Amino acid sequence: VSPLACTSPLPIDQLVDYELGELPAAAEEAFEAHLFECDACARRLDAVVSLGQRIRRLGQEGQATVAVSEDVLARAAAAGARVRQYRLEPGASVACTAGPDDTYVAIRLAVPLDDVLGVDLEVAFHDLDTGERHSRRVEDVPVDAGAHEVVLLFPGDVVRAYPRSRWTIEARARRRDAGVSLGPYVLDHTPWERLPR
Amino acid sequence: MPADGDLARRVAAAGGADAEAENELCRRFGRRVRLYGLRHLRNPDAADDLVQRVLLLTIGKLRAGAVREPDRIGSFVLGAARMLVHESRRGRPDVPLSETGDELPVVEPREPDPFASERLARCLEALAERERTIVVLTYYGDQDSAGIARTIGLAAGHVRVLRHRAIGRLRTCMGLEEAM
Repeated sequence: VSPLACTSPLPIDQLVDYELGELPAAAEEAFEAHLFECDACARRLDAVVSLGQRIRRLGQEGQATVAVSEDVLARAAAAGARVRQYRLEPGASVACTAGPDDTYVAIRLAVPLDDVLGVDLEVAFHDLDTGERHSRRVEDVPVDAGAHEVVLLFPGDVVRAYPRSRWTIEARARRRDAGVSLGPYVLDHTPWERLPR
Repeated sequence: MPADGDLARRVAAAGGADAEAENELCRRFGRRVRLYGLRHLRNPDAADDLVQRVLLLTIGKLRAGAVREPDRIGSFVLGAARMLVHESRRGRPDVPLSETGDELPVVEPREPDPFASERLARCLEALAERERTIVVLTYYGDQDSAGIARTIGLAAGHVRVLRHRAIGRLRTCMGLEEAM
Protein backbone atom coordinates (compact mmCIF):
# COMPACT_ATOMS: atom_id res chain seq x y z
CA VAL A 1 0.00 0.00 0.00
CA SER A 2 1.37 3.41 -0.87
CA PRO A 3 2.19 5.50 2.18
CA LEU A 4 0.82 8.55 0.42
CA ALA A 5 -2.78 7.60 -0.25
CA CYS A 6 -5.50 5.25 0.85
CA THR A 7 -8.09 3.87 -1.53
CA SER A 8 -10.47 2.82 1.25
CA PRO A 9 -9.92 5.18 4.18
CA LEU A 10 -11.23 4.13 7.57
CA PRO A 11 -14.34 6.17 8.46
CA ILE A 12 -13.88 8.80 11.15
CA ASP A 13 -16.54 7.04 13.25
CA GLN A 14 -14.37 3.94 13.35
CA LEU A 15 -11.28 5.96 14.22
CA VAL A 16 -13.08 7.45 17.22
CA ASP A 17 -14.60 4.14 18.34
CA TYR A 18 -11.23 2.40 18.04
CA GLU A 19 -9.47 4.97 20.16
CA LEU A 20 -12.15 4.61 22.80
CA GLY A 21 -12.10 0.80 22.66
CA GLU A 22 -15.68 0.57 21.45
CA LEU A 23 -15.31 -1.33 18.19
CA PRO A 24 -16.69 -4.88 18.23
CA ALA A 25 -13.90 -7.48 18.35
CA ALA A 26 -14.20 -8.59 14.71
CA ALA A 27 -14.34 -5.02 13.44
CA GLU A 28 -11.35 -4.13 15.59
CA GLU A 29 -9.30 -6.95 14.09
CA ALA A 30 -10.07 -5.79 10.56
CA PHE A 31 -9.40 -2.18 11.59
CA GLU A 32 -5.95 -3.06 12.92
CA ALA A 33 -5.08 -5.09 9.83
CA HIS A 34 -5.80 -1.99 7.74
CA LEU A 35 -4.04 0.33 10.17
CA PHE A 36 -0.77 -1.58 9.94
CA GLU A 37 -0.83 -1.44 6.15
CA CYS A 38 -1.80 2.20 5.75
CA ASP A 39 0.27 5.19 6.81
CA ALA A 40 -2.45 7.63 5.75
CA CYS A 41 -5.04 6.12 8.10
CA ALA A 42 -2.45 5.85 10.86
CA ARG A 43 -1.86 9.59 10.54
CA ARG A 44 -5.61 10.24 10.70
CA LEU A 45 -5.96 8.06 13.80
CA ASP A 46 -3.01 9.94 15.29
CA ALA A 47 -4.95 13.18 14.78
CA VAL A 48 -8.06 11.72 16.45
CA VAL A 49 -5.98 10.53 19.42
CA SER A 50 -4.29 13.92 19.63
CA LEU A 51 -7.67 15.67 19.69
CA GLY A 52 -8.80 13.42 22.53
CA GLN A 53 -5.61 14.19 24.44
CA ARG A 54 -6.17 17.91 23.96
CA ILE A 55 -9.71 17.61 25.28
CA ARG A 56 -8.48 15.68 28.32
CA ARG A 57 -5.75 18.25 28.92
CA LEU A 58 -8.26 21.09 28.78
CA GLY A 59 -10.30 19.32 31.40
CA GLN A 60 -7.29 18.67 33.61
CA GLU A 61 -6.31 22.33 33.42
CA GLY A 62 -9.83 23.44 34.18
CA GLN A 63 -9.90 25.39 30.92
CA ALA A 64 -13.00 23.80 29.51
CA THR A 65 -16.12 24.79 31.35
CA VAL A 66 -18.88 22.30 30.94
CA ALA A 67 -22.44 23.29 31.67
CA VAL A 68 -25.03 20.57 32.00
CA SER A 69 -28.64 20.48 33.08
CA GLU A 70 -29.83 19.49 36.56
CA ASP A 71 -31.41 16.51 34.87
CA VAL A 72 -27.98 15.17 33.91
CA LEU A 73 -26.87 15.32 37.54
CA ALA A 74 -29.97 13.47 38.71
CA ARG A 75 -29.49 10.74 36.12
CA ALA A 76 -25.80 10.40 36.93
CA ALA A 77 -26.63 9.96 40.61
CA ALA A 78 -29.40 7.50 39.82
CA ALA A 79 -26.94 5.48 37.72
CA GLY A 80 -24.63 5.11 40.72
CA ALA A 81 -22.20 7.98 40.13
CA ARG A 82 -21.17 9.93 43.25
CA VAL A 83 -21.86 13.58 42.54
CA ARG A 84 -20.67 16.07 45.15
CA GLN A 85 -22.61 19.29 44.72
CA TYR A 86 -22.14 22.86 45.86
CA ARG A 87 -24.83 25.47 45.28
CA LEU A 88 -24.05 29.16 45.57
CA GLU A 89 -26.24 32.22 45.49
CA PRO A 90 -24.72 35.37 44.00
CA GLY A 91 -22.34 36.92 46.53
CA ALA A 92 -21.93 33.69 48.48
CA SER A 93 -18.80 31.67 49.16
CA VAL A 94 -18.37 28.01 49.97
CA ALA A 95 -15.57 25.75 51.19
CA CYS A 96 -15.27 22.84 48.81
CA THR A 97 -13.28 19.70 48.05
CA ALA A 98 -13.49 16.41 46.17
CA GLY A 99 -13.61 13.17 48.10
CA PRO A 100 -11.72 10.06 47.03
CA ASP A 101 -14.88 8.37 45.78
CA ASP A 102 -16.51 11.34 44.06
CA THR A 103 -17.17 10.64 40.41
CA TYR A 104 -18.05 14.26 39.70
CA VAL A 105 -18.17 17.61 41.43
CA ALA A 106 -21.00 19.89 40.35
CA ILE A 107 -20.91 23.63 40.99
CA ARG A 108 -24.39 25.12 40.83
CA LEU A 109 -24.48 28.88 40.43
CA ALA A 110 -27.89 30.35 41.13
CA VAL A 111 -29.14 32.76 38.46
CA PRO A 112 -32.28 34.22 40.06
CA LEU A 113 -33.58 35.85 36.90
CA ASP A 114 -36.15 35.03 34.24
CA ASP A 115 -35.66 35.07 30.48
CA VAL A 116 -31.91 34.61 30.61
CA LEU A 117 -30.47 33.79 27.19
CA GLY A 118 -27.04 32.84 28.43
CA VAL A 119 -24.37 33.77 30.92
CA ASP A 120 -20.82 34.98 30.43
CA LEU A 121 -18.42 34.01 33.20
CA GLU A 122 -15.15 35.55 34.31
CA VAL A 123 -13.32 32.88 36.28
CA ALA A 124 -10.33 33.94 38.41
CA PHE A 125 -8.02 31.32 39.93
CA HIS A 126 -5.69 31.97 42.86
CA ASP A 127 -3.31 29.27 44.08
CA LEU A 128 -3.21 29.92 47.84
CA ASP A 129 0.13 28.12 48.27
CA THR A 130 2.18 29.55 45.41
CA GLY A 131 0.32 32.80 44.84
CA GLU A 132 -0.11 32.03 41.14
CA ARG A 133 -3.11 33.72 39.57
CA HIS A 134 -4.81 33.49 36.22
CA SER A 135 -8.24 34.10 34.84
CA ARG A 136 -10.28 33.26 31.82
CA ARG A 137 -13.54 34.32 30.27
CA VAL A 138 -16.19 31.80 29.27
CA GLU A 139 -18.91 33.15 27.04
CA ASP A 140 -22.46 32.04 26.45
CA VAL A 141 -22.73 29.34 29.10
CA PRO A 142 -26.20 27.79 28.96
CA VAL A 143 -28.56 28.23 31.91
CA ASP A 144 -30.83 25.51 33.20
CA ALA A 145 -33.97 27.59 32.84
CA GLY A 146 -36.08 25.34 35.05
CA ALA A 147 -33.67 25.44 37.95
CA HIS A 148 -32.48 29.03 37.35
CA GLU A 149 -28.92 27.80 37.60
CA VAL A 150 -25.70 27.37 35.71
CA VAL A 151 -24.53 23.85 36.50
CA LEU A 152 -20.81 23.29 35.93
CA LEU A 153 -19.64 19.70 35.94
CA PHE A 154 -16.11 18.55 36.73
CA PRO A 155 -14.82 14.97 36.93
CA GLY A 156 -13.66 14.04 40.43
CA ASP A 157 -10.12 13.28 39.18
CA VAL A 158 -9.81 16.82 37.84
CA VAL A 159 -10.89 18.48 41.09
CA ARG A 160 -8.76 16.16 43.22
CA ALA A 161 -5.69 17.43 41.35
CA TYR A 162 -6.38 21.08 42.17
CA PRO A 163 -4.15 22.76 44.77
CA ARG A 164 -5.51 24.70 47.73
CA SER A 165 -7.04 27.55 45.82
CA ARG A 166 -9.73 30.20 45.55
CA TRP A 167 -11.96 30.41 42.50
CA THR A 168 -13.86 33.66 42.07
CA ILE A 169 -16.57 33.72 39.42
CA GLU A 170 -18.26 36.86 38.16
CA ALA A 171 -21.29 36.32 35.96
CA ARG A 172 -22.98 38.52 33.41
CA ALA A 173 -26.47 37.26 32.56
CA ARG A 174 -27.69 38.23 29.10
CA ARG A 175 -31.37 39.01 28.60
CA ARG A 176 -33.18 40.48 25.63
CA ASP A 177 -33.37 43.91 27.20
CA ALA A 178 -30.06 44.22 29.06
CA GLY A 179 -27.28 42.40 30.86
CA VAL A 180 -27.27 41.85 34.61
CA SER A 181 -24.12 41.34 36.67
CA LEU A 182 -24.23 38.60 39.29
CA GLY A 183 -21.73 37.47 41.84
CA PRO A 184 -19.14 37.01 42.88
CA TYR A 185 -19.46 33.32 43.56
CA VAL A 186 -16.43 32.22 45.58
CA LEU A 187 -15.16 28.66 45.95
CA ASP A 188 -12.42 27.93 48.47
CA HIS A 189 -10.99 24.60 47.47
CA THR A 190 -8.96 22.42 49.84
CA PRO A 191 -7.62 19.05 48.71
CA TRP A 192 -9.32 16.22 50.57
CA GLU A 193 -6.12 15.05 52.26
CA ARG A 194 -5.47 18.55 53.65
CA LEU A 195 -8.85 18.96 55.29
CA PRO A 196 -8.69 19.26 59.10
CA ARG A 197 -9.73 15.99 60.76
CA MET B 1 8.23 7.34 -1.62
CA PRO B 2 8.76 3.59 -1.31
CA ALA B 3 6.02 1.27 -0.10
CA ASP B 4 6.40 -0.50 3.25
CA GLY B 5 7.31 -3.76 1.54
CA ASP B 6 10.05 -2.10 -0.52
CA LEU B 7 11.58 -0.68 2.66
CA ALA B 8 11.41 -4.06 4.37
CA ARG B 9 13.19 -5.71 1.45
CA ARG B 10 15.91 -3.05 1.54
CA VAL B 11 16.46 -3.61 5.27
CA ALA B 12 16.58 -7.38 4.76
CA ALA B 13 18.99 -7.15 1.84
CA ALA B 14 21.38 -4.77 3.60
CA GLY B 15 21.63 -6.84 6.78
CA GLY B 16 22.03 -3.76 8.99
CA ALA B 17 23.88 -1.52 6.54
CA ASP B 18 20.93 0.57 5.29
CA ALA B 19 20.26 2.99 8.14
CA GLU B 20 18.06 5.20 6.00
CA ALA B 21 15.63 2.39 5.21
CA GLU B 22 15.61 1.24 8.84
CA ASN B 23 14.93 4.75 10.10
CA GLU B 24 12.07 5.25 7.68
CA LEU B 25 10.55 1.88 8.53
CA CYS B 26 10.80 2.67 12.25
CA ARG B 27 9.24 6.09 11.74
CA ARG B 28 6.25 4.67 9.88
CA PHE B 29 5.63 1.67 12.11
CA GLY B 30 6.51 3.49 15.30
CA ARG B 31 3.38 5.57 14.89
CA ARG B 32 1.18 2.57 14.15
CA VAL B 33 2.51 0.50 17.04
CA ARG B 34 2.16 3.41 19.43
CA LEU B 35 -1.49 3.88 18.43
CA TYR B 36 -2.04 0.16 18.91
CA GLY B 37 -0.33 0.34 22.29
CA LEU B 38 -2.39 3.31 23.45
CA ARG B 39 -5.55 1.42 22.55
CA HIS B 40 -4.63 -1.82 24.29
CA LEU B 41 -2.39 -0.69 27.13
CA ARG B 42 -4.09 2.67 27.92
CA ASN B 43 -0.79 4.08 29.09
CA PRO B 44 1.54 6.34 27.06
CA ASP B 45 4.73 5.07 28.72
CA ALA B 46 3.74 1.45 28.15
CA ALA B 47 2.87 2.29 24.53
CA ASP B 48 6.29 3.89 24.02
CA ASP B 49 7.95 0.83 25.51
CA LEU B 50 5.94 -1.40 23.19
CA VAL B 51 7.14 0.66 20.21
CA GLN B 52 10.78 0.07 21.12
CA ARG B 53 10.27 -3.64 21.69
CA VAL B 54 8.31 -4.25 18.51
CA LEU B 55 10.75 -2.27 16.36
CA LEU B 56 13.76 -4.06 17.86
CA LEU B 57 12.14 -7.39 17.12
CA THR B 58 11.14 -6.38 13.59
CA ILE B 59 14.47 -4.92 12.54
CA GLY B 60 16.31 -7.83 14.10
CA LYS B 61 14.22 -10.36 12.17
CA LEU B 62 14.57 -8.43 8.91
CA ARG B 63 18.34 -8.16 9.25
CA ALA B 64 18.52 -11.88 9.94
CA GLY B 65 16.41 -12.68 6.89
CA ALA B 66 13.78 -14.24 9.11
CA VAL B 67 10.76 -12.38 7.68
CA ARG B 68 9.44 -14.68 4.96
CA GLU B 69 7.16 -12.14 3.24
CA PRO B 70 8.59 -8.61 3.40
CA ASP B 71 5.64 -7.37 1.33
CA ARG B 72 3.45 -8.25 4.30
CA ILE B 73 5.63 -6.44 6.83
CA GLY B 74 2.55 -4.67 8.23
CA SER B 75 1.03 -8.00 9.13
CA PHE B 76 4.32 -9.10 10.72
CA VAL B 77 4.55 -5.97 12.86
CA LEU B 78 0.91 -6.24 13.94
CA GLY B 79 1.48 -9.87 14.92
CA ALA B 80 4.53 -8.87 16.96
CA ALA B 81 2.60 -6.10 18.71
CA ARG B 82 -0.26 -8.47 19.55
CA MET B 83 2.15 -11.07 20.88
CA LEU B 84 3.99 -8.61 23.10
CA VAL B 85 0.80 -7.09 24.50
CA HIS B 86 -0.42 -10.62 25.20
CA GLU B 87 2.86 -11.47 26.94
CA SER B 88 2.68 -8.26 28.92
CA ARG B 89 -0.80 -9.12 30.15
CA ARG B 90 0.42 -12.54 31.19
CA GLY B 91 3.02 -10.83 33.35
CA ARG B 92 6.02 -11.58 31.12
CA PRO B 93 7.09 -8.12 29.97
CA ASP B 94 10.80 -8.89 29.88
CA VAL B 95 10.94 -11.65 27.30
CA PRO B 96 14.17 -11.15 25.29
CA LEU B 97 13.27 -9.65 21.95
CA SER B 98 16.44 -9.10 20.03
CA GLU B 99 20.07 -9.94 20.14
CA THR B 100 21.18 -7.02 18.00
CA GLY B 101 21.75 -4.73 20.96
CA ASP B 102 21.48 -1.77 18.59
CA GLU B 103 19.81 1.48 19.43
CA LEU B 104 16.81 2.28 17.28
CA PRO B 105 15.49 5.74 16.44
CA VAL B 106 13.29 7.01 19.22
CA VAL B 107 9.80 7.66 17.93
CA GLU B 108 8.70 10.76 19.75
CA PRO B 109 5.01 11.04 20.62
CA ARG B 110 3.35 14.01 19.02
CA GLU B 111 3.02 16.96 21.37
CA PRO B 112 -0.34 18.70 21.35
CA ASP B 113 -0.24 22.10 19.71
CA PRO B 114 -0.37 24.58 22.61
CA PHE B 115 -1.88 27.27 20.42
CA ALA B 116 -4.91 25.13 19.72
CA SER B 117 -6.13 24.90 23.31
CA GLU B 118 -7.99 28.19 23.37
CA ARG B 119 -9.63 27.45 20.04
CA LEU B 120 -10.61 23.97 21.18
CA ALA B 121 -12.18 25.41 24.33
CA ARG B 122 -14.26 27.73 22.16
CA CYS B 123 -15.22 24.86 19.86
CA LEU B 124 -16.31 22.76 22.84
CA GLU B 125 -18.43 25.60 24.14
CA ALA B 126 -20.06 25.88 20.71
CA LEU B 127 -21.34 22.30 20.78
CA ALA B 128 -24.96 21.62 21.61
CA GLU B 129 -25.31 20.92 25.31
CA ARG B 130 -26.05 17.22 24.91
CA GLU B 131 -23.13 16.73 22.55
CA ARG B 132 -20.80 18.61 24.86
CA THR B 133 -21.96 16.52 27.81
CA ILE B 134 -21.20 13.33 25.90
CA VAL B 135 -17.75 14.56 24.88
CA VAL B 136 -17.00 15.58 28.44
CA LEU B 137 -18.18 12.34 29.97
CA THR B 138 -16.20 10.43 27.32
CA TYR B 139 -12.88 12.19 27.64
CA TYR B 140 -12.85 13.72 31.13
CA GLY B 141 -14.96 11.08 32.79
CA ASP B 142 -13.51 8.12 30.86
CA GLN B 143 -16.99 6.65 30.49
CA ASP B 144 -17.91 4.32 27.65
CA SER B 145 -21.07 4.81 25.63
CA ALA B 146 -23.03 2.34 27.77
CA GLY B 147 -22.13 4.24 30.94
CA ILE B 148 -22.97 7.59 29.37
CA ALA B 149 -26.25 6.16 28.10
CA ARG B 150 -27.20 5.24 31.65
CA THR B 151 -26.16 8.66 32.89
CA ILE B 152 -28.13 10.76 30.44
CA GLY B 153 -30.96 8.41 29.63
CA LEU B 154 -30.26 7.55 25.99
CA ALA B 155 -29.53 4.31 24.14
CA ALA B 156 -25.83 3.51 23.79
CA GLY B 157 -26.13 3.58 20.01
CA HIS B 158 -27.62 7.06 20.17
CA VAL B 159 -24.74 8.18 22.38
CA ARG B 160 -22.25 6.95 19.78
CA VAL B 161 -24.13 8.77 17.00
CA LEU B 162 -24.11 12.02 18.99
CA ARG B 163 -20.45 11.54 19.87
CA HIS B 164 -19.51 11.02 16.22
CA ARG B 165 -21.47 14.14 15.33
CA ALA B 166 -19.76 16.13 18.08
CA ILE B 167 -16.29 14.98 17.01
CA GLY B 168 -17.21 15.89 13.43
CA ARG B 169 -18.20 19.39 14.55
CA LEU B 170 -14.99 19.76 16.56
CA ARG B 171 -12.99 18.60 13.56
CA THR B 172 -14.62 21.24 11.38
CA CYS B 173 -14.40 23.95 14.04
CA MET B 174 -10.70 23.19 14.55
CA GLY B 175 -9.97 23.10 10.81
CA LEU B 176 -8.83 19.47 11.03
CA GLU B 177 -10.79 18.04 8.09
CA GLU B 178 -7.59 17.34 6.17
CA ALA B 179 -5.83 15.74 9.12
CA MET B 180 -8.70 13.47 10.18
